[in-house]
Amino acid sequence: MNRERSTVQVIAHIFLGIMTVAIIAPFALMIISSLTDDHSLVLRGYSFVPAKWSLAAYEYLFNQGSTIFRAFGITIFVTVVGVTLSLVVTTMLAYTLSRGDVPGSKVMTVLVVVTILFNGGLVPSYIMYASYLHIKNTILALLIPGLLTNGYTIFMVRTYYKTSIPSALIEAAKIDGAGEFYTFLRIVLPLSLPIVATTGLLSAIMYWNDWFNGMIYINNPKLFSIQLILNRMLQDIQFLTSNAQLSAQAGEALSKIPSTSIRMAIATLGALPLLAAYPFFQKYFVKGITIGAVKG
Amino acid sequence: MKRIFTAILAGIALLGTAIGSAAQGAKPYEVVVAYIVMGNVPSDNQAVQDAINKIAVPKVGASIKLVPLGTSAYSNQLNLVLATDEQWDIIVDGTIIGIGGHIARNQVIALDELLDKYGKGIKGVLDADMIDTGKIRNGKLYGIPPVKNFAGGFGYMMRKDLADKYKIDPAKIKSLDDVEAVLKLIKQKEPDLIPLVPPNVRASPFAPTVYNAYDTLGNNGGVLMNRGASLKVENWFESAEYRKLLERMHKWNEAGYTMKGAATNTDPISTIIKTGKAFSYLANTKAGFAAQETIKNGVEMVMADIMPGFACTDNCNGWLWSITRNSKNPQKAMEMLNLLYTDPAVSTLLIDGIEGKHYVKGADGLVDFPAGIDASNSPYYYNSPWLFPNQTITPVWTGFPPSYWKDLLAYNESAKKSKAIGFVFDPTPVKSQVTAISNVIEQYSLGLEYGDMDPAVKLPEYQAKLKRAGIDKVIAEKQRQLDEWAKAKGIR
Repeated sequence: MNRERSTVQVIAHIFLGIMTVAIIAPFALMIISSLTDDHSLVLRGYSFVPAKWSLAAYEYLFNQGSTIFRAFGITIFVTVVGVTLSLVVTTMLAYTLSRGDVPGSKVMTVLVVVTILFNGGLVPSYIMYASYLHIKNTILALLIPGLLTNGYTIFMVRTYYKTSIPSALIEAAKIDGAGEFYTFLRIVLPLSLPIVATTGLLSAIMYWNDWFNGMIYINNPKLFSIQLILNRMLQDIQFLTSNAQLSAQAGEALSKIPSTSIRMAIATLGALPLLAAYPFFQKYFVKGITIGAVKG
Repeated sequence: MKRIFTAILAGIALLGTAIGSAAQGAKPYEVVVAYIVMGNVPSDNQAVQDAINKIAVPKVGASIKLVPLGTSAYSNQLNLVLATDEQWDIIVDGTIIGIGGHIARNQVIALDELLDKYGKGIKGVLDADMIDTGKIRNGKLYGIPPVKNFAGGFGYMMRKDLADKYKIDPAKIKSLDDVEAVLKLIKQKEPDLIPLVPPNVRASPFAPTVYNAYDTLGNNGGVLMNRGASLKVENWFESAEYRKLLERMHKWNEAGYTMKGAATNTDPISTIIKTGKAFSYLANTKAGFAAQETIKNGVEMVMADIMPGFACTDNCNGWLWSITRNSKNPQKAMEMLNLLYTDPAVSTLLIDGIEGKHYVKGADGLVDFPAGIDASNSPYYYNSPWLFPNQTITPVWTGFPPSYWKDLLAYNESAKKSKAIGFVFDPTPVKSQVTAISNVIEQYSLGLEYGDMDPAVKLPEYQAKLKRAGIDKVIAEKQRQLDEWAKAKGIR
């Protein structure tokens, strides 16, 4: 019995170990390549043990100064503001939906479901945001389209409220004289911290990694986010290399594109802050998801 | 009292409307110009735009708004803008961007009349033949090519240090046989070096854009051999010349003259040369090409001419300046385009920025970056200046010969032109065949043209697949359209 269990455990450990290495290795390679001398990258290719270490890529980025750091600022601002806004909207809407006694809550539920099942498509959304709401080329274009709320998370939070917060508690608060807002802020919200942290992290990841809105709605280089800059470099390279028609001139443009180590350094800078934040959220993350899943 | 008060109020109201309408009347139409940037999007656009407007508003009676975008953002936003009514007046279009689709969806307008009336200056800087290459569909002009090198030659680029060391005289290299002798020598003397790298990432030395021994007629196989000397459309892939090139390349590959893994390489060729890993490459050349390549590679290069300059339609209409259906004032848009093509001060502002701030003029008349600024941190620098309407009326940059633009124009002038220049093939009637053919080309061309595949085995397979994809039908259609065009133009 014991031996059987330990065999299973050993296999499981080996399996998980391999998985972990498979996940960590690319990250490690990315960081190491960003610290590798450019010449040895071209001559010998990627390597975990580079022939020559170099901080040149990071020096280049720091010398560029404003562009990269501004982009960082934009990304951080958008993430902080976006997550806050999306949490306010999501938790309040989910709370309303979780209370069966609100007039019209069924209609609202259907409306939220509709946004999960269907979306307007790119061109109509673009017309809406650009021609009617006029948010093209403003910071709002990085906050609102497609990111502010998400039907899935609203339902996740709603299910959490429904199952983990006894309605008796809300009634008791009411009897003691608490108003709706007071009940929500002082009783419901503190009890739902795990799910708030989970949705907060999910939306933080989405905001941090988003480049698509920037590509579609932003023309002003001052509003470029870090992921947009990275993505643009990669797309430029792809464009130049996939268009054989570009002939001699493409080579000229291509040679001015930042080298591999610089690209890796930007990717590292883009990924690290979120990686660093992960462990602190993890305990809520696991709890929040299991509660939502098992009891829902 | 009350009456006086009312009168004053009325007076104020009148004055207010008068000022309002005066201000409105004085505000010129804003022409939005959107274009593609390959590299950093400059951050100092506003300052440059203001400087251009100081010239443009009095001259054209319209102001300009610059919208530079990165490659992927440009193609995405362009499609969205063209699908809506957002105002973009002037755009960069062309066969590379997909102008055929824009015309089919009526998103760009025909420019013939506008050009005759408001674009006279453009006709002064571009030959009629060159403008004709923008007549993409039904003989109507949908885009105007920028003034750049329209002709390309075929040449062999070598690192000067090694060429000098082994006493290789570039003037004596006249054919691929001569190149072969050089490669053999280098392989012998410098066994660690790659003798020959591809001209560009994922481009073969015998791609139509590099080895321009024939008029490509919009690509996909049906070509005019011998640099468009006759109007008979032939199958390039079945020609003896193509077979000979492939056999040569395969031989070079077996002998170890070429780069291993060239088909999967993504490092820019200039980086490979710069690191000292390789010796030479075959390239599509132009006037001042050696100077350009020296700057690009960071190593001094010398050029051997194998074939002189040659121009055909496909060299010219990859990039075109077009006016969209969304423009609310196409007349002003054309006048603005005319200004961009003809006014040296405006063109210099657009391409190089503001003097003293973005570039400085040296004693020799050449311009360079101001102290402490280079291509990587300049707030206004484009690495694709050839895309703008007219770079030849701007100052020459340090590192290039002072006569760079003159040489370029003279080169265009002297280059041999295909008989069919100005003819644009419309692939719509054979659309599915063209797609099928490009898939087959994608599958075989690099492997064969890098010499990785044995032409004795793979070339017949390639030719058979192209036949099945319908290459004969495309050639027949090309011939039909070409005959019609030649008849209308009176060319035999």
